[in-house]
Amino acid sequence: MNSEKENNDLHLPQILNLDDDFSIVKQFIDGDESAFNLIVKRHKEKVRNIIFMTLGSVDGVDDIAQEVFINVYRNLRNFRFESQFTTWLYRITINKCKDHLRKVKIRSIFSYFKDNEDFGYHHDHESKDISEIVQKAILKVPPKLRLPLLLKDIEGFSYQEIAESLGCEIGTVKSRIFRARESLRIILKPLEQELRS
Amino acid sequence: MTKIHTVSENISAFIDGELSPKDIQSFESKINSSLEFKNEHDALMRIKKLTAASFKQIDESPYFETKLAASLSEEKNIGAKLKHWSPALIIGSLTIALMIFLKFNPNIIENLFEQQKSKIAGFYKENLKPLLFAADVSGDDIFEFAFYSQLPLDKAQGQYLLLGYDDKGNGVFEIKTLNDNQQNFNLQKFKSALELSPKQSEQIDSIINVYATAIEPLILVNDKNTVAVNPGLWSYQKAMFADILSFAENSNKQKFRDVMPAGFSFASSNEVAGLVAQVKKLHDNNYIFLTPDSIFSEKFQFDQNEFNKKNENLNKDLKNHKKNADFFKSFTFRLDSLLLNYNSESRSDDEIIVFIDSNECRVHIPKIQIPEINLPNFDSLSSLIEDATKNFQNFSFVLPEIPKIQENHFEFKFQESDSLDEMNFNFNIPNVDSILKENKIFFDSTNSFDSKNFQFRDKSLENLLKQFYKNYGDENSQGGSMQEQFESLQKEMENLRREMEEWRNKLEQKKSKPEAEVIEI
Repeated sequence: MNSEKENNDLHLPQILNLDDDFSIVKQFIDGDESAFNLIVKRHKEKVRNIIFMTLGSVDGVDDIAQEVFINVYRNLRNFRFESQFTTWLYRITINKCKDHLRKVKIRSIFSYFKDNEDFGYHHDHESKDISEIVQKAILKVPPKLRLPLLLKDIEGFSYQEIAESLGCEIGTVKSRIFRARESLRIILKPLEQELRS
Repeated sequence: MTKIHTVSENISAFIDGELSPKDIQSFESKINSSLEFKNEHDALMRIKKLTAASFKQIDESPYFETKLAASLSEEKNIGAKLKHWSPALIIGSLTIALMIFLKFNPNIIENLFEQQKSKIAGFYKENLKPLLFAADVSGDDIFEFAFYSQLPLDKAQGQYLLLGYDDKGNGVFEIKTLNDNQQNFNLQKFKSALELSPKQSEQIDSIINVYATAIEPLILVNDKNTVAVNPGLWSYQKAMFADILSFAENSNKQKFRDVMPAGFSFASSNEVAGLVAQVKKLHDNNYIFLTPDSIFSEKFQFDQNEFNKKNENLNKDLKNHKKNADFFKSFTFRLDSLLLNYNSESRSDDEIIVFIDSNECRVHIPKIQIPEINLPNFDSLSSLIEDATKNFQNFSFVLPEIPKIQENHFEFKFQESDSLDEMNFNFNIPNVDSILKENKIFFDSTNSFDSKNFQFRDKSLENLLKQFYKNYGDENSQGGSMQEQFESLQKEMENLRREMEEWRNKLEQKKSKPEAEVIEI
């Protein structure tokens, strides 16, 4: 009996991983409002990180994340279970980030001081912290290339998942990740020796 | 380049574990065998590791869920929902309110438009004065208006207001610049063709003056480049034309028949009187306003008495200040670029139709009431009057009876009835009497000269000619050349006579000799 229970316990997380999001969503659709708290708890950090990676800044991450979950709350009853819940969620997240970046761009057109991408990056080479240097180098890569790279290397998404989240082809994802790495290589070339050591 | 990129993309995908098992094997063998592949693989792998290691995850937000819960509870709140929808609700409620308001006040928008229209119209109606005054139109111009349907707006620039009719019989007026608008026919020629007496001439002038007064309020202009035309103008032009012709017929029936197309005659003077009475009845206060930015039809009451008063006062003021009123008497209609966009397509029959280009502005006015009367077409009439007045081109007077000429010159004076100019004519007429009389001493030492019984002595004609050339012309230029021509003609005639004589002799000789036989080969 014990061994059977152990067996069930061993298999349970795997089964839950596959169906967890769906079952929680179902609970919510059936009227269990508390199920939504569960969804937030499970995905909030991922969502926040994707936003952070897309924006390249901590500013506004929580606000956008709030908007994402409010949007999810409003539309969850219309979820059709045709794709993974996470794909749907990340797609909403990325779209919100795009909206935000568009607004920032429009605002920058009308602002007196234009945003300078190089701002604060002139002394990178003086910095001794390699991770900081690399992080700043990653932020120099255009968001269109940066996001698939980070979803792959940081979040560990598959190409398929990235393609579904971004709403593009797998070939495009493959190409963008390679181009992002190439860009990083060029940016970090002056520090090649330092980074090797 | 694309191929190299594809290979590098595949190395990148290989690192990410996104290649198929078959491709993985092939790539592993390539990386082991090729140094270039290996270097590329290592470089990309190094970047991947650096990215994974360097990019820090964002710190957790402890209040995120609390904030979200607050936002969601607000979201659930009906008030918040209303706030969210408030712009749409406001717009919706305003629309409904507007619809209800318009339902109970259906004419409000139309009235607003009308008000606005009347405001604009009011602006353009200010200071309107008769064109006949503003453009200093004379009696001759009014006469030409009756016959040619055109009135000068600006004579210097050749700008005219032309009246006419379109194919549908609608009244058409045009403001046009005519480069060559010299009419051959005018009031003076008309009077001459009909051989009007001075009294009749005055009568026709007074008819024109009466019509000028009647027409005055029908075409108004102002300093805002506005021209207001009353459709009554068409009727008055017709009535004036008929009235002038009727007067002409009554004044000189014979000459009128010569001038008019064959068979044309007014049945009775009552016919014209009826037309004039009808025209006076038809007059209303509707004007077509042609302004720099619009063309519209509006009612307008022109106060002739008020205008006359103002005009009198102005003239007094100007006299007091010793200034001339001529500078007020000028008007030019300027075709504004705004009006060029006004060209209207033919819509319904009731609407004013406008055609505008850089040199012309034409307005078609529907439904003009014009009384019917049979009038000749002036195109044919013009040529007849032209023929009738041809002889009066240089002198429009009859020579007075010349007294028996005792001298070789005579004089007379001529004064035109409507002109202050006086012409004095002094003629020196060479005639045989005068020549002979002047040279009587030369011919007759007794001084008893009688031209009728005068007998030429030897060479007296030759002497007379010499004296003639001496008195009345240059012998070398006139007489000399004539004499030479005469002599050369005489010589040529003599030569011809001789040649003819020779030919006759030759022919007679040939007849006496037998003709040689012609042998055919």
